[in-house]
Amino acid sequence: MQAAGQKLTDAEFNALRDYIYNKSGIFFTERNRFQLETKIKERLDKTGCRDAFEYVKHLEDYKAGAAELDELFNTVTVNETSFFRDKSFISALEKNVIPELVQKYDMPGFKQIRVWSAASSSGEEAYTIAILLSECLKDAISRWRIRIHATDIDDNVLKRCKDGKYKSSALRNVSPSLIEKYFDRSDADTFSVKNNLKEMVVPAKCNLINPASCSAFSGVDLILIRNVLIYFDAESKKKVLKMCYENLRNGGYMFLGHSETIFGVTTGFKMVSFVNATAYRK
Amino acid sequence: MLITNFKEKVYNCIEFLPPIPDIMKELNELLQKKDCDLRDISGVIEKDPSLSLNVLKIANSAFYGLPYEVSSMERAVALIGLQEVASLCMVCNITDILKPEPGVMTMDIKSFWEHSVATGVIAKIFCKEFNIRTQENLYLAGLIHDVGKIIIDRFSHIAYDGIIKATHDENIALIEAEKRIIGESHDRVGGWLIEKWELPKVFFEVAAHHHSLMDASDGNRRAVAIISLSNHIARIKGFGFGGDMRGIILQETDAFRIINAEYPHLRDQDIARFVMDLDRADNEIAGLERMMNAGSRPKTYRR
Repeated sequence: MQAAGQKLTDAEFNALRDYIYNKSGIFFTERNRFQLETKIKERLDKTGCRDAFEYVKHLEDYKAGAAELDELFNTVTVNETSFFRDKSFISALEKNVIPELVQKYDMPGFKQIRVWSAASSSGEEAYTIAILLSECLKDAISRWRIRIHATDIDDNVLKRCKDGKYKSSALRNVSPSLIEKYFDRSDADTFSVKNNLKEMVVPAKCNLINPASCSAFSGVDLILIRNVLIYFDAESKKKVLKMCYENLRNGGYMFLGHSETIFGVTTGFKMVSFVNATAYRK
Repeated sequence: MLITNFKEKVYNCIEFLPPIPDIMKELNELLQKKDCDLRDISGVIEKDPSLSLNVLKIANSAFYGLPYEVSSMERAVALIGLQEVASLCMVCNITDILKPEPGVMTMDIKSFWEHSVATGVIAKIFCKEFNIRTQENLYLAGLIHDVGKIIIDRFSHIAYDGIIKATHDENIALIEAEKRIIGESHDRVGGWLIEKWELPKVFFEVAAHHHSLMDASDGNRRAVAIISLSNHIARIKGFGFGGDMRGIILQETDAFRIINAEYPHLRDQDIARFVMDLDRADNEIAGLERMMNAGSRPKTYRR
């Protein structure tokens, strides 16, 4: 069975790869070439371009280019996610990181925690953190100022994050009691997050290799930047991790995806090993 | 619930365990000799057919990766080494001695051995990966490092149940819960048992000092440190025993510092990747653990 998509010649692939890389820092290696190929056909059809060269030219057009670049990012980034995804990661947050942050900032007149879900897609991860914080703080949460910045490069997913409506499949790892507590059922297969969670989560657009774009998220206590670094080459990875380090408050934690490490890219962080999950502490 | 005269009471409990079989004493004596011959060693082991069978089973497992299946003890000794085979015998005997009587309530023995096997396997892989030379049999050291837990559990299963529960409820280390609830800890108790069994000193030190590395002797501190680090890694790989889910900075443990002092290249290694790649050892660990639990010996052997 042939995969739907567009086989790119090496020259086409290189041109498109370099263009995307220069604009976003996202680097498609040979290993994930097929991801680009399966998704690019849709953009070629929409723009009426005959091949990738023509498409790159179209992107460079200063009028049409900017909007199309957003569309391209929206198309090529992977957005599969769900609530309470990765049990070990959730458990490290629930049992260790969140109680530690709560204990640290539980002071009269302070009581605030800021989290940055740095490639949050449609917001499942950000709302999961909101639920974990609510469960940890219980009634006291009304006296806390909690901000969870949910950022992505893709406008479509940010809109979905803002709407806060999810299919039941995204909630497959959430216990019935938590669903009851934090979601309203909109229809047979759709659930909306309740307003108290929405108040904590602030969606915003952010391009991780653009320093100006990231400066709004400095002084955070927890950065979740999971399964994003795989898209970056060594140089961009270095820049992004340096930015994360600078944006974290002292003692703050950063979590990467399950198979990602910062080895050889940055020092400064301390690696904290939890059961089947690794975090990096400033 | 601090227990008075705990040591004395536990000693009584140890008294009721079957002694280390004579065959182990013979093996230990042979190994001390400089001109120890592999035929002498295999001869001693072959006196006990069920022991020989178990040793061959483990020797032929994926763990040793032998180029072909061995069916004679002499061949096994030649291929995997005297020390290693002697250790396998020890393992078979110890797991047998510590096997609970049928019908007796015990802690989760399966996950106990899983943690112990994982610690031993990780110690071996760690040394191989980072070119750390050792004389000691780290696999066996890993297997017996927590043996004190079985003794405490046998002494009072209810108390040990409470200890495990505390680790889950309060997310604290097992050793902390033990000290609080019974006033003693598994490392000390394990030391008492190994002392009584008169096993080589390194095994005593591993059992007694894997949580207090500075108390280990200079000669054995590195081996104790390797087991201690592997013990941490086993826990964070999910081969834990108890409910301690706390994070640990491996590079800041005493164990890491001690090993690093002798092997400074360790500091420049991707430890996160090493820990991640241990997923590949899962099958080995599961396979060995199964053999450990199933490698039962005929009841008639018990004394």
